[in-house]
Amino acid sequence: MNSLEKNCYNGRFSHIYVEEAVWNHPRTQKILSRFPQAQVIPVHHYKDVFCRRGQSVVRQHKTQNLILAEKKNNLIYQGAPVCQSFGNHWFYYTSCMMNCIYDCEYCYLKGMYPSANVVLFVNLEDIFAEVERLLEQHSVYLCVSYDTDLLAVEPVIGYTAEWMRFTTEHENLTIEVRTKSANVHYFKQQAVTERVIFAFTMSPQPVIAAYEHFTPDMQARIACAAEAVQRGFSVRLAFDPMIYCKDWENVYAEMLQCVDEQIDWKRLVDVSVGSFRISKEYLKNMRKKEPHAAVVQFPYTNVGGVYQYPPELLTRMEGFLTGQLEKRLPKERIFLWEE
Amino acid sequence: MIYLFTALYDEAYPFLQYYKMKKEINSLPFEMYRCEEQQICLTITGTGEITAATVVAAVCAMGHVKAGDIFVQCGICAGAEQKKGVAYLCSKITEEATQKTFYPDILYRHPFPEAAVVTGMNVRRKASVSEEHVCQKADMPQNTDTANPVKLCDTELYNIELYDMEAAAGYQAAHHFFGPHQMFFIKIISDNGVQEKMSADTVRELVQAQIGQIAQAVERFAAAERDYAREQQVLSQEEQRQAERLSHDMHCSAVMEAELFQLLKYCRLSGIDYEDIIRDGYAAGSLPCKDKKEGKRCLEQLRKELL
Repeated sequence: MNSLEKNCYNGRFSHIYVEEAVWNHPRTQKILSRFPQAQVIPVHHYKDVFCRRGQSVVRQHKTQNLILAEKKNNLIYQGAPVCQSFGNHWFYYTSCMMNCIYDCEYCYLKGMYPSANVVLFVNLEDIFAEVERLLEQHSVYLCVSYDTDLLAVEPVIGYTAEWMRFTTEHENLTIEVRTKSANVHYFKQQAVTERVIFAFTMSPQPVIAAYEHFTPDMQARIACAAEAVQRGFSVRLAFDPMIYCKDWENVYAEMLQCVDEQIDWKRLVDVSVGSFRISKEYLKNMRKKEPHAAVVQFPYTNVGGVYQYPPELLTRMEGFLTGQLEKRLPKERIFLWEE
Repeated sequence: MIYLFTALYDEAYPFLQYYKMKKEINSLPFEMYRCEEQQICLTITGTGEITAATVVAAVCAMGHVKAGDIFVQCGICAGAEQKKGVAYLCSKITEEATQKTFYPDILYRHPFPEAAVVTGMNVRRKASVSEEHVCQKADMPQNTDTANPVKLCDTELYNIELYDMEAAAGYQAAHHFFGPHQMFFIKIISDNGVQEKMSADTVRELVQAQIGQIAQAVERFAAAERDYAREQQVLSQEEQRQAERLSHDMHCSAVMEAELFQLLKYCRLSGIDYEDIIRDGYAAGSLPCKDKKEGKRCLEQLRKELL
């Protein structure tokens, strides 16, 4: 028997599963029309596909499928303790999409979800309505791209633009769009909304090459963030997660120098710093699913149910990066993750 | 190993010929055939859900299923008359009695059209599966007529694309042993509801006409799974033995041993050469350790030197 070649896998979104309840939703029809070659499979509930036991997350990532579904209950969540709140008291996040088209070996989604398939909730208006209910009580700081990367799939789903429009209409709402994409085109098209913060996750090129599959390279990310800054968008740089690698001090210092060359630090909203940390349960799942991922197999230390770098290394890594950043930014605009 | 299941001997016959399979001599109440060269085990389950589930479970539970193996169920089914003889790969399986649905993952490229299959307890009679009941999947995304929408979720419309008597049972029994990406259901349309017993020759001819394509696809699926399983081994057997010896020489507890193995695994994956440091430890006399306390110190020292 001959071994399969690397291109033995189906293309991305070769199969699209559609919940019966959203079949006639305009977004469903619009998205399906973009993939005329896809096999369309009706499902009763997205969990019938998403939560099957024994799925191979690693291989599904090579040929991700799309599930179109309706989000019910829990449309908005309170921010988790392991997430950076940036000093916002009313800190929430929402999952209008689950999973990401990027394939970062260390991503907690691999430990959290049983599948690598992407679930897109098409009833975005229901989430908007829930946010409006919260806004009647107090201002809201909402992360809309936590369990996914919305900007990376913007040409297909257009959710970032929808969130921007919604935020513009609601004065006491601020949103964060976290991304690793380099979608420069988006920033050239959109009008500036200050209360929409684009948080670009920055990683050194050796980390990107080793662990962040399918993501834009470091230079492209920096160039995209620079374009956004230049056009007046609110931009945050997230040096989080910081990943240990050979010669990490030089690698991170070089990345900062590249940022120096293209971005005026003073024009950034803020920056965040945090070394890799993950819950015990998620890491256990990830080690099983990704036996070959060095970043997952690192001998982390368990501190109160959260795995992180050994204390001495963690202090050195975060101390080094914050020290470097303090040369560029006032301290109060550097957010270091602390439990 | 390819675990191949058919309901009937006549469905199996073309495979037995193609792979020159030999019958296994055993005391089991079902027929098993093997081809050691191609690593295929074919079992004839008999028709119907209960017998299919029982036999699949019995074969899988013999304890030989391992990572890299695949499950294949192949046989004839009812479907649209004009598609007679076409082999389908099933992307959705519905159990008629319970309306439970199952979705094998279709990760790999393959030469077959895909279809949904309904598994029922009874033989499908002619009136039950008519051509107008077969949903035209290509039309579905374009259907925007809200006044008169295609009822996609209506089992009478969509799900009766194919009808068989074993797929849902096979899935439910096999999923305890295989992931959804390791299960393949290939169905060949033989009729659109039978009126009378189908001849053995007709069944053999239907499978025979597809055997080359099916065999080639199944072998490719199996090769992909086997390659992937092989790649999952981080430490070689020799390295594993060395790690166990080191654990013994450090008087490691279970927790310490897990930490040690994790450290060595990371070093192997990151290209950090740990063997020289361990060798130096033996040469300098710090290994083997005197007791667990000393072993703990040694493990900590090793961690510091390697990271």
